[in-house]
Amino acid sequence: MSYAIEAKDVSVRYKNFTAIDQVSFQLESGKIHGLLGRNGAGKTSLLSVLSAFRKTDTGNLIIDGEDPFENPRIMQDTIFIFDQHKDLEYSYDKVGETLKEMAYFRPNFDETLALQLAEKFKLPLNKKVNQLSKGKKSAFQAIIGLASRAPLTIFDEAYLGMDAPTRETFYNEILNDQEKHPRTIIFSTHLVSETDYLFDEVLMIHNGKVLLQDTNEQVISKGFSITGSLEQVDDFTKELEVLNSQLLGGTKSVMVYGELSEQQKNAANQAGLDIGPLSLHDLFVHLTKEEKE
Amino acid sequence: MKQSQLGWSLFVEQLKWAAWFFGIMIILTIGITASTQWGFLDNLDVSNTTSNVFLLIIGLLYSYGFLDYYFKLGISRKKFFKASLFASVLLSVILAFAMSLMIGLFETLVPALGFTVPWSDLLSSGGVLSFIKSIADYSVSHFFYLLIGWFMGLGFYRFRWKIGLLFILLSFPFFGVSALLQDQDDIAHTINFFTSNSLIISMGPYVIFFIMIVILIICNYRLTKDAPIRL
Repeated sequence: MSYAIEAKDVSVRYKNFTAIDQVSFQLESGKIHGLLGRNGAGKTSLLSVLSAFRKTDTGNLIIDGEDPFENPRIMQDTIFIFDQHKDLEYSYDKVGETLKEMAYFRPNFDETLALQLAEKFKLPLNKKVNQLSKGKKSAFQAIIGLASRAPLTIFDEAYLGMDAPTRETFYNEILNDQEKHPRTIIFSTHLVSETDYLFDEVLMIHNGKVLLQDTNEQVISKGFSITGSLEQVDDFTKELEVLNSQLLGGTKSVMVYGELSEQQKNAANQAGLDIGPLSLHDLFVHLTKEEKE
Repeated sequence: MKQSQLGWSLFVEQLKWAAWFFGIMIILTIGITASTQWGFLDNLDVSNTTSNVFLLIIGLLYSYGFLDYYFKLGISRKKFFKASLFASVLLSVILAFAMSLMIGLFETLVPALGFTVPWSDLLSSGGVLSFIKSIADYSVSHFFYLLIGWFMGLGFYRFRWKIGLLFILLSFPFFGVSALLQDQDDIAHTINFFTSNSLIISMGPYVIFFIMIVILIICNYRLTKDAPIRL
């Protein structure tokens, strides 16, 4: 089971600050959506309304055909995993007991999977949750997020504190379990370079607005690096959206965003220009760059 | 999780805390009885003030502790509110029963052991009716204090400390009226000023308590139903 999401002109405000500014988008069910944005872009604010932590100030939000705010069905089926280290400081129950208790609250909770994951993440079941290290606490939360198999699963920088091998295990487990039990996963991150292979679709937000939304392949297919002599590169890219450029002697390398026609690609080849792909990370970095930077 | 399961789960959790509190209360009362006997203390006034404070603290924790915890497990605010109300009533009554029983047992056992009960207004002197009345009075008072604590906690949870302090100020009239109503002589004297009807004199305080409780329940629900949950 997985939920589709539709947001229309959704805004979130904190006093005089607009964190989310009339955003509209649709998220298909059963896919992993990468929510990308820089610090303060509005990712967590957006996720907090999706998980009914707060009301939208304007606009409509529909999850599986219904408004999620104070909707017991949607709320029970939505799990929002974020940095809860402060909360977990007051969790005096043992890891094993806490994992078992989750079944009371999450109807699809798979206890066997939770215990298997605890073993993989080397979580001591007899230790109290508040005594876990920061990385282990994150792993503990990631296990709850995965084993709950909630139709809408949200991970908001859930990897904080995990070391690189643990993060890798976490990402692999997301893919493994998603294959067997598809659900809608929103994975919010700014560690784009190490998570881009997870995403079916990408929603990039910047300063509270949607910057782009498309499938991962489509987004990547719109980014190119073009390298060649200064004059030829300038001539070729004069009508393209240049994200970034670097000059080394007489050689110039630029990053462009937009679709290149076959004709343009041929023209570039004939001019001796090298055309290469851009990674999602490069696109993210340069599309969200501020003018002052 | 079903509504009833949630209510019981909340109640059981609070009961664990109450058990600790009650254990400490018994030890303190034994200590105080001994101290009085040996002349360290005198004129002890036995009442439910301590349990009222305990329930006030439980109420304060409703938003920061319980609402926050259960919401993050997928429980809606409305469902939480109903479960909390159920658990609150139950806890208030159970603690009232436990307090009355403890006082009753002390008043029976302490003289049997050759000591003097360190308070003068004996609960057991009024018989079973006095015991039942004390359970009813303590229950109402406990529930009332828990609701005030919940109200103040919600103020801090929703609006942070500046407006939260305002909620403490808003609670003062409730505390004042409650203190007045619990002083039997005072309230009888005050009501006598308006009427000499004995039914009004005896039931009046309960009606006023009931009205204040309804006001607090409405306020708490209004503050809970769309409260933004802290991340």
